[in-house]
Amino acid sequence: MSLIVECKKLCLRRCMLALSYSIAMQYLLLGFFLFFVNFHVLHPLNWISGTISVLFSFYTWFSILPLIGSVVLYTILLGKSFLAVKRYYPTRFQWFIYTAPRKALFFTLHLLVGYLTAWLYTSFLHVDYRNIVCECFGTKCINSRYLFLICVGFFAACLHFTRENLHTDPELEFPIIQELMLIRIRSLIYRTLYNSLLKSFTPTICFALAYWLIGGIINRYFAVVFALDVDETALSFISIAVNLRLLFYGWILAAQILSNMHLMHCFFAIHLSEEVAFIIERKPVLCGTGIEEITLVDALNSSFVPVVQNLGARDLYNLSSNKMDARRKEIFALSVPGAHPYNWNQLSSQCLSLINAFTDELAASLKKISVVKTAPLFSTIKPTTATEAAEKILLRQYNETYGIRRMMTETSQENTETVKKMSPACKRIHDQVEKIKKQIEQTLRAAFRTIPGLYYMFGEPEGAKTAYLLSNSETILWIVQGLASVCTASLTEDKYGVVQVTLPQVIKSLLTLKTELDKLNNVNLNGKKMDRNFIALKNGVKRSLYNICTVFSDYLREIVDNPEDLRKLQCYVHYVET
Amino acid sequence: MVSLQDVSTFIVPGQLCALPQNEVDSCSVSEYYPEINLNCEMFSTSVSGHANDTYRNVMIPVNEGVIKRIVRTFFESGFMEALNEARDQETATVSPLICATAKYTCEMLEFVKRLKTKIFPHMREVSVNNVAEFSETRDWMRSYIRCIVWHPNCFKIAVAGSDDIVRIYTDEPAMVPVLKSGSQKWITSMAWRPLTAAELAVGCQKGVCLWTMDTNMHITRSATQAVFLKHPGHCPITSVQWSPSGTLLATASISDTDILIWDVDKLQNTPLRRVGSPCSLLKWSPDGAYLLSATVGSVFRVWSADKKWTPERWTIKCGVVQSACWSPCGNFLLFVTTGDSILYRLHFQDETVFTSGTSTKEALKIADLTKFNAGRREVGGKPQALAWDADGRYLAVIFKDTPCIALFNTCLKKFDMTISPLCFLTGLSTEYPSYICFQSKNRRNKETVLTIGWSSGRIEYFPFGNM
Repeated sequence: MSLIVECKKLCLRRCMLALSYSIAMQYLLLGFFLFFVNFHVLHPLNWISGTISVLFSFYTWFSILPLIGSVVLYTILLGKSFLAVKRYYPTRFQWFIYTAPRKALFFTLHLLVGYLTAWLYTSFLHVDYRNIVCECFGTKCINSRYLFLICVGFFAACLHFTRENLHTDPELEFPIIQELMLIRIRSLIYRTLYNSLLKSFTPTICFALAYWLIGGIINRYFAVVFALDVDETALSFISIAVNLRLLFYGWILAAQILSNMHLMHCFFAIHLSEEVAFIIERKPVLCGTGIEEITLVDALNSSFVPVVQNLGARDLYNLSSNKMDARRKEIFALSVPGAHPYNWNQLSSQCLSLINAFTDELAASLKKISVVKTAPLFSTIKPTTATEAAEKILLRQYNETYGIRRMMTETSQENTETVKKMSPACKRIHDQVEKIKKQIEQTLRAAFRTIPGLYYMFGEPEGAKTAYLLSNSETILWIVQGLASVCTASLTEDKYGVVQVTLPQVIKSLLTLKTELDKLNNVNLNGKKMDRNFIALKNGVKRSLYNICTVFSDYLREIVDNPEDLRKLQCYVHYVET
Repeated sequence: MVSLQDVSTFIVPGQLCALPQNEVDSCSVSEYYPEINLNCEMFSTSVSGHANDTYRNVMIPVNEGVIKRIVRTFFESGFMEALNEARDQETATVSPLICATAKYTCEMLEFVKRLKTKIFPHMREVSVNNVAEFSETRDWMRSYIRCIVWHPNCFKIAVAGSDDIVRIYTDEPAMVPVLKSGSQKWITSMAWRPLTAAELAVGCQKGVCLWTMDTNMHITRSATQAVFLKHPGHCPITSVQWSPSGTLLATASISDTDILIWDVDKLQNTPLRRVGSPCSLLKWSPDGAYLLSATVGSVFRVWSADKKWTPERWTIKCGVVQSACWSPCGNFLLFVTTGDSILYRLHFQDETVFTSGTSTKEALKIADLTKFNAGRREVGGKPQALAWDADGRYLAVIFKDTPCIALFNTCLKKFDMTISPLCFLTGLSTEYPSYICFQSKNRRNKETVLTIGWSSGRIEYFPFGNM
């Protein structure tokens, strides 16, 4: 129990950090926006001092609070989806049912953030763009420019939602290399601010066109609501196209909203993916401290918090490949007292159980794929050898002599017997019923596939489960490589030979996983010919096997008993396995 | 500094190591080493980067109208070629108006290009000469052999020729798979992926060509097996290096200040970004802890992969880093610059006991490579490339303008290394070495063998077994 709490605490700390960065970002973005919109060529000093004084005024700090509130809500939901265990949805319908409420809520939050951003930012603009009411021809009219900017806020929020969150859930992507967090955040901010300006340009222009078409309806609606007049002249194409200032404001606003949401997303990714050096062994209870610390094995075991598990897998890889990592020594050390290879046993069994569980799941999912299923290269029926038959007879004789009865019923035989016992008439009826049943099943299946949309919504696409497993295989990839590297390091660093005992199991597990992956070589997964997750995992397992075989090439005969496995491993020793 | 002529082969402490004085003849290696001579095998002798209008030499010219000719050229060779076609003498006589228009257009384009170069000096177009300048291969433009790489784990050599073809040699002389692709031009560097059977990254003009060979297939020519890694603004590639674990690929281009680190399996990359000159040379230390990146300016950096990729920034007084190599333990870095004829050494070790915060780290000069005459041979001069063997016992140096290979003995200790001159090697008649590298240690061969690509296209193996 405490382990879950510790893992969650670790994630929570990081989420809080991401949240505080997101809040700080609101001020930065606002400052950025103010610098943009208050630009004066002739009065640069006024421009800078004016912007800074606005940024640090009480009004600003007060009026930004609603936006910050919405950002907090947004990040809470974002954090929850980052930390959630990824579920498998066999059909699109299930996916829709399970994710729709969350997506709807998320969409609402997007709209809220979009609206509040637009509301806040417009209050710093020129007086023509600031209020919903404006003076026109002596009466009070609805301000279509203000409405335009508010709509841009909603539009940008929708744009971000459809681009990033509609089809996919927020997913944690680990960086290829771990740089300092400061450098990552710096380059992220530069990149985002620049890219969002480019990305929002065309959509803003499109939106302006759309506003010209349907803006009148919106204006009239709001005019009725607020009991105001409508300024028709402000809605003509020319007035929108020529008002460069409005378009510019709209563009910057859209860019700000897009970058804001992207940055929040990335802050979470950066903070959660920051590597941790887990401890190998807890300090004795007597020392007081360190009881709450998460060990590497705990981290690998925490399948309920996938982020921590992934961090653990990466840490295993790092500790195995870093030259001067003292933790490797701890792994190979014997416990005091007792002199048991406690650390290694725990670590290896945890890794192996994860790898084996994955292999089993993968194998089970592969059975559903018709391409793999229908292509058995070798027949699996084993002919009974004479020795085996003799042994069976001997066993039966022994049982009979000592009166040992067979307690287990042989199901298959009995079934055939019951069928045989049926009278001919019964059998005929039975056959008929069976036949009709089969026919109905077939027609239903055919109908299911032919009626458009039915299979799309309710059918499980072939290979979807495998693709899902592979898309979550990153943890396994790092564990496999890390475990293999620890094994190879053991040749020179493992003084007591603790790894040697488990090495055959490691090799066996990797070979089994490789065999299962090889079956997928020519299979289209979810319509994709080359699934990158699959390639990454296959190459990772292959490299790990090469690593082990290269280092232990001279001792393989002593390590592996199975001649079939040995033959496979020889391919790796001679570098011919592809 | 002691002058070279009076330095004996024994090293006096505190003095620089001198060049070797005695020559050795080449020895023979085991018979399974493939005999390679690119001079005889070259498919086409036209050197890439030179005139590329070879198809015109074989086509019979036909009479066609000016407009038609220009349009055809546009579709065949692109806008610039069509413009050149419109400017030439033939067009001028037939249709002076077209010629004049084309001339003005061309001048305008030139002007815009010049202006752009002035405003954005870092976006200058890189020519084949720039690539040759920063290559570790001597006379890269004309050399038959552009790069030789040994597979780190097994008996396999990849040789890139000036015909833009990579040939793979193994201990079975009957099979020589060739890797050829239309977009594989200006090969500057290659690297075998460690811990794989046959995956080769080839750095070339337009990006990195990643070949995955089926070891059972004998001829690999189809481009379908090659994955092309491209990134906007990151070409031509001048250096490719795999991490020793084979997970990451680092690439550098002389037109890009970023170094790209690729997760090849997922086809994703991430830049290592610092302000400064573009990067030209990369060397990953054998233990994977450090990555050296030399720029085209006076700065080079050593990135610590273990320590969150923080770089150590070094500057050299004159020139740029020409070549560098890591010791097998990854603690020592040897490098040479284009500015002088000195071999430098850098030491990387977490010396927690001896370091004091104030002392600045400095590269140590360890050998003087100034040119001198040994009998009728000229040895030394400005260094071209370095190669260090997998045991850290021998170091080979080739030079920019002398035809000998200088060999040194090196001895590695935990906190120190020593170097002493051994001998020098020469080729046949006027040959000079274009490229050198040591054979990796593998099951087939545990001996130390220096592989030399001579300017004549011949590859020679020099075993150190009896030294």
